[in-house]
Amino acid sequence: MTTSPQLQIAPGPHLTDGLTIPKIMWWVSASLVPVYLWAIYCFGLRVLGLTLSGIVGAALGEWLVARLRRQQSTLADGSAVLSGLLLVGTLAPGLPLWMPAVGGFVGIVFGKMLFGGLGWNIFNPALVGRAFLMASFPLAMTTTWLAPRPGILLPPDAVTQASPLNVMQLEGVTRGAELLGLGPSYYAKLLVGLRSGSIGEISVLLILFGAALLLAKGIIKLYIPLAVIAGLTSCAFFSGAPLFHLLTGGLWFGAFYMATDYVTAPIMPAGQIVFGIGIGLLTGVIRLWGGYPEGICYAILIMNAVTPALNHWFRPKRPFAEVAPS
Amino acid sequence: MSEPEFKLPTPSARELLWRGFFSENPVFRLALSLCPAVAVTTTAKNGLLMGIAVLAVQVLSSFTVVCVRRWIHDKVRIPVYTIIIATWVTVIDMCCAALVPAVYAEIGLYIKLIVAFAIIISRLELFASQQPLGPSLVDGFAMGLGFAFAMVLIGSLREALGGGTFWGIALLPDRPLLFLLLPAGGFFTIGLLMAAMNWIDLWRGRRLPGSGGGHA
Amino acid sequence: MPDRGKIIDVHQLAVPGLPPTAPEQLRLTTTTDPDVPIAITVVAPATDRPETAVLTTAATLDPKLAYQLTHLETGTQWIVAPSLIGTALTVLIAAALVQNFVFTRYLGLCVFFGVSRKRDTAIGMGVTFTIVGCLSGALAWAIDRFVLGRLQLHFLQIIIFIGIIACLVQTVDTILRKVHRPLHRKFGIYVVLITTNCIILAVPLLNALNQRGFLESLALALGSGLGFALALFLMSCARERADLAPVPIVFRGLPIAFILAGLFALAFLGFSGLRV
Repeated sequence: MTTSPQLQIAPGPHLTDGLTIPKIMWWVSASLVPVYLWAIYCFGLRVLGLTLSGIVGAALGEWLVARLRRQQSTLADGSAVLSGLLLVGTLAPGLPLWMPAVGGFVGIVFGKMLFGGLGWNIFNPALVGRAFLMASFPLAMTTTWLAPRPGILLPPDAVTQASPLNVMQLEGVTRGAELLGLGPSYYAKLLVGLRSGSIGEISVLLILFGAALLLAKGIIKLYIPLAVIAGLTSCAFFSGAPLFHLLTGGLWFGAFYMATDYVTAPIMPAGQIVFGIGIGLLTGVIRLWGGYPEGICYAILIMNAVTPALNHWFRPKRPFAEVAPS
Repeated sequence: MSEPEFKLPTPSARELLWRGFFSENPVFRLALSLCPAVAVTTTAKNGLLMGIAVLAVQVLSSFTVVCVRRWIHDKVRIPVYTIIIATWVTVIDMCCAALVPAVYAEIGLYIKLIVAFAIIISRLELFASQQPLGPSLVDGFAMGLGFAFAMVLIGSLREALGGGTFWGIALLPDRPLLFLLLPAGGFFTIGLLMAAMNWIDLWRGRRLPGSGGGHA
Repeated sequence: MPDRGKIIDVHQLAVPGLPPTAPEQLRLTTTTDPDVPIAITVVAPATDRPETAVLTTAATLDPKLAYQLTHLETGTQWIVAPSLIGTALTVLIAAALVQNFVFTRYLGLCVFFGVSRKRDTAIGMGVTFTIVGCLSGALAWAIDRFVLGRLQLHFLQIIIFIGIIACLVQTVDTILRKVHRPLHRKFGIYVVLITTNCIILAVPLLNALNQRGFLESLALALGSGLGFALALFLMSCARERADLAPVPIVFRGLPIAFILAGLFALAFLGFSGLRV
């Protein structure tokens, strides 16, 4: 049998639409641009430096492992760049510039490349990077929040300020809002993003804008984010200030950009809903009773660990295609 | 653990040492006795003490088994071996508590748990129950030394890179990678060292051992 | 049934139903040492609860101990003790999640890496281990308390505990074989393997070290078993996936399993500091 050049053999499923991996990765990255521009506007140019550092670290990890394995580099599919970008989104804006590079490198190498690259990783590489940084440099990771000072090209001597979740845990909502200088209309300010916090999480509105773009392109589906939000809301009622819990911390960034990662989330909608609710509940439990002020990073990692089991429990009942009897 | 039908030829001392250190290293190759390998290796000193304790228990148990094996009925040998090991562990446990109380306070539980280490009983079963006294002692010594070597190697790496010290002496100004001192760092270190040993094998032109899991 | 008080701080004790009283009229002791009174410096009404007094003591109070308070004139007694169920629950959750025996105490690793390659074996091992672990935890507690403790033979702990475990495993194996053949065919192999799992030995040793009561000891055994089963199950699912992956050749098999365990441990850090 001669192989015709037009015939290619590849494992199923063979459903395709126009979205290729690089297209998806670059679209997701593009939808994040407003969020990062806003962070630069609030915290100054160093955010740009941190972002580049994270991307360079992640890309270096991807390139190096491919090089050592003598394989074609997969840099161009954009997944490493996106991981670096997402990692920076979870970091405090006052970190030393080299830290995101280290986190990105470790996240990509140990979280993804050692398992065989994109598609085989079990944990979200960006969050592996963050958890690694959190374990290695706990002081820098939790004390370098900056107060927002909107203005183009901010001078570098920004003021440190505790993160809202931290303050709220210690002082309560009203007093916390006072301490942070949010004023009486603090919910509006939280929505717009005039607050201290991680680079990618501060502006809920811009995250929703980016997410709407991805939804419109069909890149993400609503099952996971809605389940995460529902899970956290049900937990947040115990705190007495559910709205505050929803608007601070990395909920929106995590729910729309981290939890929806194709590789590390379950495949079937039922599994995705269980996955999302698990993330939301665990986030709430860690925030309210745990040792960290923000729990969504660990909640997603823990549910990533459960994903293979969820994929087993919620398997597609219907085959992708049927062959007519001859 | 089935009794071989034939009598194995007695390997040379050099061969036994090589096996203990590299080709059948109890930690990196056989994946036995892993609990202390991750747990106590946050410093080189703890690792060394643990290594010495295991070495002592291994050699003493091998010695005892060789001495008394002719009176042990085949059907009850495993319980008898267990009791012999437990007795020696109790002795070593008390010695450690008396001689190095500071280190013992950190790793005492794991010294007690040497009883449950599969490596010791498997050496008794596979070697000391059949071979003459001399080689049995060398085998116990080589395995114990290989274990101690692995412990000190992991301990030094984690202490130097994670805590910035070596043997309690400051090397680096800060704690560069606190991560390595955490549980996750311990797993990573061992995984990387195992991969490094595989890489050495590959480089020496040997076939890689199959993707075999740990022995229970 | 005496009323229950509560330790609210290292020096403070809330006692419901206690009218304002001079400190001299009260006597506070631990239940284990009723002859040694603990000095009370101040008795004040509580600000946040009605009909409750807050006692301040000079010495520090240990929330794990039980105290008794007696009103010398009326003879009323209060017990200040941690609730048994609450403590047991704390121990259970701590052993299963916060200080998971596999990911933070590194125990049972040989078995963990050995049987986590297939989901079915992981489930079998997890279930069997949890059940036998509870049995051995309870049995070892009883023997430690009623035999070793009475006879001052604590130094024999290691030998006795490993003996108990070996006998128990043998008994369970025999009973299972005689009573339920199919179940034995499915789980017999795991029962035999349990002896090599150091968690089963660590649980009685830790219980003896911390002098835990029966309920707490059982909670530790159950928690450690559940935590082990959870770790084993999650790991087996992940490893089945990693076995198919194009992992670099030097990392195939055990090295990647260790990296995976490291990532699990990293994720489980999220539970650290959890207050139950």
